[in-house]
Amino acid sequence: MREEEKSPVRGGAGISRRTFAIGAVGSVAMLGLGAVKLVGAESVVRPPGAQDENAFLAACIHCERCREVCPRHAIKPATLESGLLNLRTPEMDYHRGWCDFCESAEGGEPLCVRACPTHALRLPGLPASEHVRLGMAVINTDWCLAFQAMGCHECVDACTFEAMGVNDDGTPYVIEDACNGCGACEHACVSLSSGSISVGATDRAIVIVPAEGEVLHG
Amino acid sequence: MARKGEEGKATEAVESRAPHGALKTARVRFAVAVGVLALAAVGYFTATGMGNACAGGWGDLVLLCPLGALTAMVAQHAIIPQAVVSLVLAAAVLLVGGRFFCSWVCPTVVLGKVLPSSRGLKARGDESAGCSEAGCAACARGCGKARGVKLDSRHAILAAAVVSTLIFGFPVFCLVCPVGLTFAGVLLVMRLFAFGEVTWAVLAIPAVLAVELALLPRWCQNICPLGALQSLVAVGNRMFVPTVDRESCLKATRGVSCDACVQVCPEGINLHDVAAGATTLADCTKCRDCADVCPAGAISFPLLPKGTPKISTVSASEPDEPGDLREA
Repeated sequence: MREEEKSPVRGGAGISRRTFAIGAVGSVAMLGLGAVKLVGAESVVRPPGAQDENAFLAACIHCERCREVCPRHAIKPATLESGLLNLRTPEMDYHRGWCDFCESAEGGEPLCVRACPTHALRLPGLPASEHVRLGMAVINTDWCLAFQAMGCHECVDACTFEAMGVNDDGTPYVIEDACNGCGACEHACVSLSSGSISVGATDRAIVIVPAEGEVLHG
Repeated sequence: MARKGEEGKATEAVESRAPHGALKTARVRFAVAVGVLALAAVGYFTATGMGNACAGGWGDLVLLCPLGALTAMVAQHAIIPQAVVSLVLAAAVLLVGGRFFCSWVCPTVVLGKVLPSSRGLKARGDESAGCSEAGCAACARGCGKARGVKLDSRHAILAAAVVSTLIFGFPVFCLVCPVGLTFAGVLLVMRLFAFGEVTWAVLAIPAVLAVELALLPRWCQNICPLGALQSLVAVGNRMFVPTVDRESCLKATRGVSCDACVQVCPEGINLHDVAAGATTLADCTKCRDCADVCPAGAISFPLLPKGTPKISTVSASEPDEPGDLREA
């Protein structure tokens, strides 16, 4: 198919050797660019409905409408640091907001899913909070203030899906079956923002990590 | 869009027969393109959801980039209603206004002024005019066709982008599209200042744009698959088509060897003899540079085509069907 397009001699005049060369090099570049997919990219925490990474990447045209409509500003454009393939694709930003799946205000369908014009965000079912798992909360016990006996339980208080509990010694734990990665805990975590209490901390003490396309069945 | 009557244009045009950058519509176009970028930036800032060129609009009324819509469907092997609607709308817009997006809206219009020695955006220049002037052998049977679209490297790259999307399963061209990258760059800079979000992309995106538009051999004319896709549909465009008034054209009336309009055309259209140009009127971006540069003010962009043949097609081979894309 490409060969046909590039055929230089049809029509006599028209196509010069230079045009042919640019077309050929450009075409090869396009194919090479596609091969970026084979290299892969870091997995990032995606908005609701993007949990099947392959289906998501096929449809996302980086238009950023999901980011624009998010009422909690919980979506940011992924940057080069998470891979060329991910550049400009939506990623959850729990430092600025968390995902309540728009359940309180929008009757269950997240605005980002509704806004996505190419069906890159597509839910397996409603309500979203029961059907998708954006990621999984993970506690860093070195950085968590509760593990330093400081009595902090901000994350446990923030969790709206009953996915966190407190041990007898006051340290929090994640109930993995109940966690859907909404990020309220990470959003609430004060370990990093309330001064450099934990030595060497580079991120919050509870963060959401990608859940590798897991889909909950509710 | 700055389409005025032709009266009094001749004297003005003679005075303003200036280098490419100083053409008066060019200034208006620059302002419009800056306005579009500014509108997107305001949208980003106020979160009013007016989007960017990849998907612009409000609420459910969203127009997708035709190439994005097409490749998203190719990658998904599925029909997406919003994408189909966008493609139909884009086709309608192209039939009415031709490729006006390219010279009035596309952010490369702005970048062309900002980037140093932007080879990527200059006119096709001598190359295209050469054929008719040298009276090359090929011209004996017509240098090419006067209608339809002349397929070139852009169309090959468009085909490759679609094939690559089919193979690898994602909209490949979106990764390097200068339109998308420009909007992304605006957003990243805003986020850099608003949230202190530091990323290499803040440097990488301008670098990629600079390579694409300043270092590669003329992006818009040789490479851009988005322009190529538009030209395929703009073949059917009959409105606002540049028309030479043969009563006042210096070349036609007095035999002056004036090729100002040919030289200035960034798309390489030869209005004196379309068949001899590098491209046909399907690639006209309605930039009006030819009308501005014409010393006799002989070129206009009428809303509807005149009854008589628009332009000289003397040395053209028999006119092709407008929809015929297979010949090059």
